[in-house]
Amino acid sequence: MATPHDVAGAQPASAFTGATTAGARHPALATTRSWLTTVDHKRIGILYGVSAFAFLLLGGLEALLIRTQLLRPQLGVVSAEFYNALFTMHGTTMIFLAVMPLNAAFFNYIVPLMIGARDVAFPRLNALSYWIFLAGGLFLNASFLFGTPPDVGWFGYANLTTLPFSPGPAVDFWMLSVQILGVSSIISSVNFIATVLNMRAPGMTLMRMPLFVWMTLVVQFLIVLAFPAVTVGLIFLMFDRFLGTHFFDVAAGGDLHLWQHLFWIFGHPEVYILILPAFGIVSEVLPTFSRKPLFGAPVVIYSGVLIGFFGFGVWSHHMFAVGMGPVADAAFSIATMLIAVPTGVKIFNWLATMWGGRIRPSVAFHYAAGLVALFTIGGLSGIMHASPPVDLQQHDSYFVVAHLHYVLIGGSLFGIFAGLYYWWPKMTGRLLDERFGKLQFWVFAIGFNVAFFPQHFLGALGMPRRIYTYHRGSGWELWNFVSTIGAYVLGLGVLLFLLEAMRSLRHGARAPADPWDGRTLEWRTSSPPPVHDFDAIPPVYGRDSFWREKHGDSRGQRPAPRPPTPDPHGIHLPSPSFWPIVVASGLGIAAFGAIFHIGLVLVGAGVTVIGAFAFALEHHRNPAHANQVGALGVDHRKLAMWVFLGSECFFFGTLIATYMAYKGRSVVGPHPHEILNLPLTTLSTFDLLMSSLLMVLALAAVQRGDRFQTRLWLAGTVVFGVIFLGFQAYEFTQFVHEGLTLQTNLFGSTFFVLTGFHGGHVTLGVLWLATLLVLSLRNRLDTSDAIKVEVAGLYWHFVDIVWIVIFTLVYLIP
Amino acid sequence: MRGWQWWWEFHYPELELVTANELHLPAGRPVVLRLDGPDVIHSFWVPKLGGKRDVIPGRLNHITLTPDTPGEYWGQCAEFCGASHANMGMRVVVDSAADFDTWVARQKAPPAEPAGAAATGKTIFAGSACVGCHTIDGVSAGVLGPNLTHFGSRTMLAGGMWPNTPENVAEWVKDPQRLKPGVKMPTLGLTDDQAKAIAAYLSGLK
Repeated sequence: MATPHDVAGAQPASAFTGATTAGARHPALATTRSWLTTVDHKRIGILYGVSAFAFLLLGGLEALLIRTQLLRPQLGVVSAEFYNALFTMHGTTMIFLAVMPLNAAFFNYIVPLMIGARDVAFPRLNALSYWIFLAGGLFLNASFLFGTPPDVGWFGYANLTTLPFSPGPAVDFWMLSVQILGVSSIISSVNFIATVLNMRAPGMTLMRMPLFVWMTLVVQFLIVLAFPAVTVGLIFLMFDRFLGTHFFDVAAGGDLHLWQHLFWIFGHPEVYILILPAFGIVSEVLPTFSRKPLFGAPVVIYSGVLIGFFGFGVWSHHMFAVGMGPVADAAFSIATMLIAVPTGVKIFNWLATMWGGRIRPSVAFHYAAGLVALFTIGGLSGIMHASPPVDLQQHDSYFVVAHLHYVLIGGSLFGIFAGLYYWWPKMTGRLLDERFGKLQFWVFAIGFNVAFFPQHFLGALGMPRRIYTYHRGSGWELWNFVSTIGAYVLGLGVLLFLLEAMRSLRHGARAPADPWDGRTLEWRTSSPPPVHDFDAIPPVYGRDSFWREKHGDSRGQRPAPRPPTPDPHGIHLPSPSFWPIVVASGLGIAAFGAIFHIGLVLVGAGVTVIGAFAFALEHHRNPAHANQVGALGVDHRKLAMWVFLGSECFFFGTLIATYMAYKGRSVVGPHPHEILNLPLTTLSTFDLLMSSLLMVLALAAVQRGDRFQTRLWLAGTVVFGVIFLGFQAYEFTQFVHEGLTLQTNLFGSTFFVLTGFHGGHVTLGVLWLATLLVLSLRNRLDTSDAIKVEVAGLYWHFVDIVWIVIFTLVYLIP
Repeated sequence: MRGWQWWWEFHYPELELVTANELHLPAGRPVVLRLDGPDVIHSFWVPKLGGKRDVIPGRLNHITLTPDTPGEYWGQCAEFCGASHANMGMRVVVDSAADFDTWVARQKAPPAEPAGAAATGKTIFAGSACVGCHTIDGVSAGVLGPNLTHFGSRTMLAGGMWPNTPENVAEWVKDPQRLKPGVKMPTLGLTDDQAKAIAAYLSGLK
C-alpha cells in the first residue's frame, strides 16, 4: 500500500523538503511553500515558538511603555486612553499570544517525541490550529494599525465592553480575536488528547508517561472544558454589540455578574493552562540535572491532575468584592486553599528530587530551580488572597499584579526558559553557550525580582491596578521607580536570550543526540530529529525508559534489549496541505468583515466552509489514512469526537444555564408561557429523535456494506434533520410575528441564541450527513469508511440529546 | 452612594444632603453605604478604612465602615471603569461627632450670595450648559454631574484628584479633557475671564 506519501526506508528527508519542480527553479519559494503547507509537528512547533516569541517581545514592549509611564508621578509618556490600551493588549498578548503558544510549541515539538510517536494524531488539524492562532494574533494587533486598540482590560468586564460605553471597534477587535484564539486552542487540545492517549509507543503506559506529557494532557482537558464558558460569554457580547441583544443590558434586566462568572470559569483554569506546562518542564529538567528519578513521580502526576480538577472550582475567588454573600465567599475560599495542597506537594517533590542528587547546574537547571523558588512566592501570595477579608484589601491592587507576575513569570516563563535551554539542542541541533546563558539567567532573574517584588509594597500602600498615573505625595513614587528600573533589566534579559539564540543558530556548537544524558525518548533520536522522528518505534522499558536503557534501573540492572517494535503503520509521513491556511484565513477575513463590511463576512465564511470541505475530503479513502486505531484501541477520529463532544457539553451547558438564570428577568413581554407552542415543538422533537434512529440504521447498513440501505437511511436522517430545521424556521417566524425578536427582551435574547445555536449545530450535522450521502451515491462510501459514518453519528446523537435537554428545560418546565 | 464615570456621589438620605467626591463620616459609628451604579462597574475602596466592594449597576451592594479615628482618608476606584479610571478618587473625612454636626449644618445652610466677579460667574453659570448636569440649590437642578451647592467647601476637585483652588477650577472649567481624559463634561469654549468668574463663583460656595 505504498502511496506517494509513504516512505519505506529510513531516508525520508527528501520527502520532507517536498522538492517540487517549481521548487527546483525557486528554492526560496519552495521553502516558503513547504513552511506554509507543513504538517510536521516539529515544524509547527517551531512556527508556534517563533511567532509566540515575537508576540512576547511585542507584549514586553507594551509592558516597558507601561512601566515608563509609571516611572514618575504624572508623566505624560502616553495618554490615558493609550495606557488603557497598553495594559489590555499586554495582558491579552502575554496570555493568549505568548505563554499559551510558547507552551504549544513544546507540546508540538516534544510530546510526540516523548511518547515515541512519529507525529500527532491529526497533523493537518495541528497546522490548522497554528494558522488560526496566527490569524487571531495578527487580527488583534491589527487594531493598532486602525488606531483603535482594545482598552477594556484582558478580562473585558461587561458592561464597560457594551456599545453604550465602548462605541468604537476596539472591543470588537478584542472579542473577535479572543474568540478566534479559542477556536485554535480547542482544535489543538482535541488533537493532543487524541495524540497522547492514542499514539503512545507500545509499553508507554499512562503511568510511565513523562511528567511533561502528563501535564500537557491535563492542560488539554482544561482547555476543552474551560474555553466553552468564555466562548459563550463572548458570543453574548458579540450579539449584544452586533445584534442588539440584552445579555449585559442592565436596564433590560441583564445581570453583570454573568460575564464575570463566565469569564472566570474560563479564566481561573486558564491560570493552570498557563502554569502546568511549566510544572511539566521542571519535572523533566530537575531529574535530568540531578541525575535522579523524579521523587514520587505518581504523586506529582496525581497532584497535577488534582490541580486541574480543583481549578474548576475556585473561579469566584476573583469575585470576592462583587458581593456574592458569605456562603459563596466561604465555599470558594476553602476550595482555593485546598488547591494549595497539591501545588505544595509538587514543590516538595521537586526539592526531594534535587536533594542528594549529583547536580549539574546547567542554565536549564537554574531556571527550573528558579521556578521552584519564585513560583513559591507567587503561590504563597495566592493563598493570602484565598481569604476574603484579606483579598478585599489586596484585590485589584498592585499586590495582585505582583502575585500574578510571580506566577506567570516566576512560574510559567521561568519554566518556558528552562524548556528552551533544555530542548534547544534537540530542536536546532546546536548548543547554547552555557556561560552566557548563566549571565542571561541572572540578568533576567534579578530584573524580574526588582520589577515585581516592590509591587507587593505598592499594593499594600493602596495603589490600585490599571491607573495610568498617580499623584506626588501618594507614597508610591519610590517603588514605582524601582519597579520600572527592574522592568528594563528584565527586558534586557529577554534581549540577551534573543542574541544568544541568533548566535547559536549560526555558530553554535553542534549538539549530540543526547547532550544532557537525558531520561526520556526524545534524546534517543538525533538532534534535530529526522522528519519521521524515529527510524524504529523506540522500546519502552518503564518510566525514564531511555535512562534505564543506558544506565539500568535503580539497582543498576539494564533491561534486556528488545527487538524493534512491530510498526503496523509503517513510516507514514502526512503530506503537506494548503487547506489549513485557507481555512484560517477565511476566519480572519470574516473577523475583519464583522467590523468593516458584512460582505467580507460572507466571503470569509465561504472561504472557511469551502476550505473545510476540501480539508475533510482531501484524504478521503487514502489507504494510508485508513487505519487510525491507536493505543486505546479506539480510532483517533472517534476519540477526538468524544473529546470534542465533552467540550460541546460545556458549551451548551453554559448556554442553557444562562437561559435558566435569566428566566423571569425580562422587564417587558412577551414571556415564555405566552408564546411557546408546545404541541408543535413536541412534534419536531419527535422528528429529531426519530432521525437518531435512522442514523443508527445508516451506520449498521454501512458496516455490513449494504449500499442501498446506507443511502436510504442517510437520506432519511438528512430529511428528518431538514424537517426539524423547518419546524424551527416556522417557530422563529411565528415568534417574530408575535413580537418576539432577539432585541425584544432577555427571553428573546436567551431563547433565540440558545435554540439558534442548537439549530446551527443541526445544520452542520445535516451538511455533514449530506456529504456522506453524496459520497455514498458516488460509491465512495463502503465498509472501510464506516468509521466516518460512526463519527458523524456520534455528533448527530449528541445534538439530539442536547435538544432533549433544551426541550425539557425550555418548553416542558413552566 | 453612586459611582459614576468618573466621580462619586454621596447621598445622606436621613440628612437630605447630597455631595460629591468628599464623604464626611462621624467617628465611632458604623455607617452602612448602599452602593449603586448608574453606568459601569466601579469599586469603592478606602484602603485605610477597610476592604473594597464593587459598585455594580443593577445590583445593590453594601459596605459597612466603622471609622474610629478622625482624620482624612484617601480612596480611589478599584475596578477598571474606562478612560479616567485613574482619576476617580475621593476624600473621606472622619469627623468627631461635634465637627460632623457642624459640617451638616453648613451643608444644609444655603451658600452665601456671590458678589463682584463671583456674581458674574453665577450669571454665566446659570446661563450656560452647566445647569443641564449640575445642581446648585436655587440655581439649577441637573443630575448627571456632581452637586455643586457647597462646592467651595471641598478641598479637592474633579473626582478628588486636584486641589480645589480657584486657579485649578478655572483651568478645569475651561478644558476639562486636559485634566481628566474622557470626562463627560464638555468643553464649553469659555474665555479666560469667564472661566475665572465661574471659578470665583464656585469657590465661594462654601
